[in-house]
Amino acid sequence: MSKFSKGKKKSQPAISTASLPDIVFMLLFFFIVTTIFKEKDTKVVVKAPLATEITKLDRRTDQIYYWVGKPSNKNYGTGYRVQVDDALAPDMGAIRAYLIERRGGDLSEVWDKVINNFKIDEKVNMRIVKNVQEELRNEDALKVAYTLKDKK
Amino acid sequence: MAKRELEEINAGSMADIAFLLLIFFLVTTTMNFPKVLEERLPQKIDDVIDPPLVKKENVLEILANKNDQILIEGNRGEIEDIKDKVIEFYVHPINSTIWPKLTSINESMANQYIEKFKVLSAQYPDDNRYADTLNRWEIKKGVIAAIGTYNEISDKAMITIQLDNATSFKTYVSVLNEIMAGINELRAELCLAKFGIPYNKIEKSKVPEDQAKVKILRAVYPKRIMKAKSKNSQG
Repeated sequence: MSKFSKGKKKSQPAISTASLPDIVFMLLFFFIVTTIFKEKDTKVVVKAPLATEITKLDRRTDQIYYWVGKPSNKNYGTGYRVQVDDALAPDMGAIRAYLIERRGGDLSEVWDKVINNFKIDEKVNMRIVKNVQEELRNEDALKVAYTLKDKK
Repeated sequence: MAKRELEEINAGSMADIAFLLLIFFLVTTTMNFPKVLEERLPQKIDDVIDPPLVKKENVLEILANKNDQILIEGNRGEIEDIKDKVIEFYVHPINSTIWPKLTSINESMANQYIEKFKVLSAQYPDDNRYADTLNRWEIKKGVIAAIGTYNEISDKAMITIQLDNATSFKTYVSVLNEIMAGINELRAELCLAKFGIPYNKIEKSKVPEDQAKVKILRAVYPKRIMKAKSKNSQG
């Protein structure tokens, strides 16, 4: 009779995975709370300039997105193009048409709650920016914001 | 007869389901909140009117040309110089002749004007200029009540940015950013001195008292930026 039994090994009890769902759910809720949905698919490449005096936008604000940059797909040309929300604008007039459609029959004061969010490539010249904004002014959509990168 | 035990539901696949959801959220969401610089476009006016004649000292003129070079008040400068000029534009000796007129206003003065314009706006209810002025003085009185006597910048003072059609967006943003940096620094200084709290804490706050403070700071250092028409503004 030996104290050190060399016989059959005691099998280790399996690690309980019962709490695994709880852990994963916790992670899940963390991500649901801290993140926001990606906006639209972008068809143009934008390298936003850096800035320091930028502020966070309330995520519930109603926004119309404008991207100005070179198309990622060469089929759309090689010059700078404007994408409004989901689609590339064929010309400047299309922006105004989109705004009219978006506004519907509402009054112009509705525009005060909508922010026109611009994401513009740093190399784009101001002529294009001005032309787009001219279309906005025609429709009285005057609130503008530029999405920029934090310089820190 | 033995009582039948209730069979436990197998929770083994719960983890899989949760993982699936987790991965879905990881893919479809993003962590970086967009940070923005806000601006308000000027309203469209139908008939072309000549811009009102403004005194040279009331305008801080910043010009960016097609090669992204900066001209501040007619002198070549760098982007970094703009901030100091903006601060000087708002805060300078009261008898200066090259910068906008500053008026030291106090409570009795505000009361006087309020009385005067109350009478006038009652007399001419159709003319809303009097009501506007009355409103402006009431705001000023609120500012004095909060921070005491202060130097008010002329309401004709403004910062103009003149751009070329070929100026890059990057340059425009850095000019705008530097102007805002100057104004924000002044506001932050005043905020810390008078309210004892950092400006960035209350700037985007939703608490009504904080918003009132921000309004006061904005009234003392108003943001008046105008994009002037460039010389080659066609097309």
